Amino acid sequence: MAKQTRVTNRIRTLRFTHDEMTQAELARRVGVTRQTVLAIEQGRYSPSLEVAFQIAHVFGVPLDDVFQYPDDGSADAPDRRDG
Amino acid sequence: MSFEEKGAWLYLGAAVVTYVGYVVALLVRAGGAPPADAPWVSTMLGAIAASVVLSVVGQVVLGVARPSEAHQKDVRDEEINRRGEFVGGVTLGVAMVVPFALTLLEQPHVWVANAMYLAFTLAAVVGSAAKLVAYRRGFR
Repeated sequence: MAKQTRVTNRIRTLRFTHDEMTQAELARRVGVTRQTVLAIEQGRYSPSLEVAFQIAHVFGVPLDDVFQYPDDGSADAPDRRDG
Repeated sequence: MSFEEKGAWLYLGAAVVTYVGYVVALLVRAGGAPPADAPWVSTMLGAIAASVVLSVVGQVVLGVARPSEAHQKDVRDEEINRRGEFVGGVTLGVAMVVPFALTLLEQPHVWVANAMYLAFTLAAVVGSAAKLVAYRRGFR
């Protein structure tokens, strides 16, 4: 069984709504291999922040329209800062 | 399958095939006598040379077969490569305890050299396997 990341994404849907963009075309525009786009789409690889932003830029949408992270309540926890 | 993943398969295959070839050649050259009495130095050097040649020739063949993929290495490939090299390095460090111990015990060179060759092979196999698992099962 594949090791899934908790980050989910809507890349497949966004590709479909952007003239059925192929994985190869998205990969070319982001500057990664098609296999990496496939791995991200299937949740087998969490991309770097830079690649995530590049993918969002290709679709012309904010980052959290492409990637989501499950809300387990930790977002309400107060910041832990030194000092 | 990406070019880098094919390269990991190639490296794994070259390490396994040449080590098995080395053991078989050593047993054949020993001709029923203890393997330590066979001409192990030339056999081992030949196996190491064959491993290097196989890896290099294989990479060239892969590059010629799919020239468009040959220079496509992205951030995921680099991260997976780093993980594989780390796992291989740890394996080598642990496996090298054996030849180190053999040296301290002043055992014959044949056993020390063979333990080192096995350690290098194990590191190559485990490191490549770690990369292939990351490619196939996922990498976070």
